[in-house]
Amino acid sequence: MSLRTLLGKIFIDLEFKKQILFLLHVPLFSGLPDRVLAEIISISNHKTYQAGEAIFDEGSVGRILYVIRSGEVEGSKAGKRIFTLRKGDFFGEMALLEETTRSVTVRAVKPTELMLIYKVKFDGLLEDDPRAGIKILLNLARRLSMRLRDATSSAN
Amino acid sequence: MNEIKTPVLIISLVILGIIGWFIYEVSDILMPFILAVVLAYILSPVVRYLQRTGMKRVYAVTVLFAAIVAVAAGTLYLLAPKIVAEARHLKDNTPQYSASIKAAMSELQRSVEEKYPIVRERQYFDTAMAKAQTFLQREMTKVPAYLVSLFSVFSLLVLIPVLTFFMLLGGKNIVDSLFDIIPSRFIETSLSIFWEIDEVLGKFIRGQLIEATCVGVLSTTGLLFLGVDYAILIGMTAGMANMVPYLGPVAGAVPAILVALIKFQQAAIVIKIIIMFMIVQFIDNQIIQPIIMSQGVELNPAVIIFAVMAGAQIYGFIGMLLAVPVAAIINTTIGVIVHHHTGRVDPDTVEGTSAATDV
Repeated sequence: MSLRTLLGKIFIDLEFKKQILFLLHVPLFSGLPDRVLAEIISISNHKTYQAGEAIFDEGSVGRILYVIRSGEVEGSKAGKRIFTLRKGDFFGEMALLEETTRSVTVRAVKPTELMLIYKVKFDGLLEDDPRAGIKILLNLARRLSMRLRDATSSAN
Repeated sequence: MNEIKTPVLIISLVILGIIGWFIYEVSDILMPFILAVVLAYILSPVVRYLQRTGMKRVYAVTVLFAAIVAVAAGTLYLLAPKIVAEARHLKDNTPQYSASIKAAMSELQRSVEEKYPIVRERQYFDTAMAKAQTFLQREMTKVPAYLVSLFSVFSLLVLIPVLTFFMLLGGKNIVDSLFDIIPSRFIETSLSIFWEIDEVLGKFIRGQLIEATCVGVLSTTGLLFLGVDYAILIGMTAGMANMVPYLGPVAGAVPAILVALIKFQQAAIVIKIIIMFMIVQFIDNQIIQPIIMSQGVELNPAVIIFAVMAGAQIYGFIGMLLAVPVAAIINTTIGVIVHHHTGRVDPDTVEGTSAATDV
């Protein structure tokens, strides 16, 4: 046991394990095997944002999906706050479905670390692994229907 | 909008100019770094694969380096005696070859001068030969110095492996630390450029390596079948040369024809070798290339020829190899920026066509 732990400490990449554990708790990637999560890590980038820094503006071209690793962001439209998202949440998913301009402005509320996934790489992942692709798209559809329901109920 | 964009454009151009000037100034020492980047790029998928098993990156890179050293040593052990023997044979036979070339030339001179006495009177032949000789001597003495300056033992055995090791070790963290300093409003464009270039380069380098190996093996087999000396050396050269578009296949065939001509002293072998190389090219174009889809770099042939010649002018053979990927990088970057720009001005013009399909 102790030898195993020691060897694990020497050879196992703990940062990588931590990233996998984090992705397991992101709703978009729930139910995916470690192999696919590792692939997602390899096609993603990271960027940190200061509190108050704009992540993207309404009307700009969107080709990236953002996942919040830490911190908090706020979405607004025409100066009116619409949503607040925290660790594990994702946004900018419209960019994955259609290449269109951003419908909201998103800004970091606190110092925030984001995971950035480029649309073309994401499409490649779905094509290369359709089984994982179906799961991801299902998670995405759930999320969209949830938002639609929220929007409808708030309109009513 | 415009009052914001103009200074940004000017600043970008100034920064690009400074980068260009700097690269030009340090171009003499740039080659090992470029080769290390290329090597790190080729090897990174293996490191990624090992890392996915949960292995720490430093061990993944070390394991990979150990494997490469083992494979290189093994290949050298198996092939070196053959290559050394061929090279030594070539060296030993050079006086004989040059003697037989001289004999053939004076034979040609005699027959031409018999038919056309004016050639002898004006001494066209002697002048031409003298000029050709000085040209050849001048160029031939340049080759070793050129090779040494490109690949000194220090750069081959120490600098390039060490640079490659650290670039592999840094991996995507190097890129991410760059993204951290890029202002967030440029991040979508920067990320697009990075991944589009990655896509084009990955496809190109994989394709080139597979194609060069196939052409090398096929040419060697063909030459062995025809009984041409130094089949392995010439076959390997043909494989390498094949990476240079348009000029490569021709450059690969020339040494084979020369050697065969000296050995067999007949025209028929030239035709056989040309047919053999044409078959190799046919297989390459019709079977290998469609399979590996190395045609991912869809540049205009005129642009490719210009790039190859410009590459040759700047860096010689290595410049010719790097010409197409560099042209593809520039093309991709412009494609993404134009695409992003048009997308920003008028969202209706963007209809899901990614820049990846344009290049």
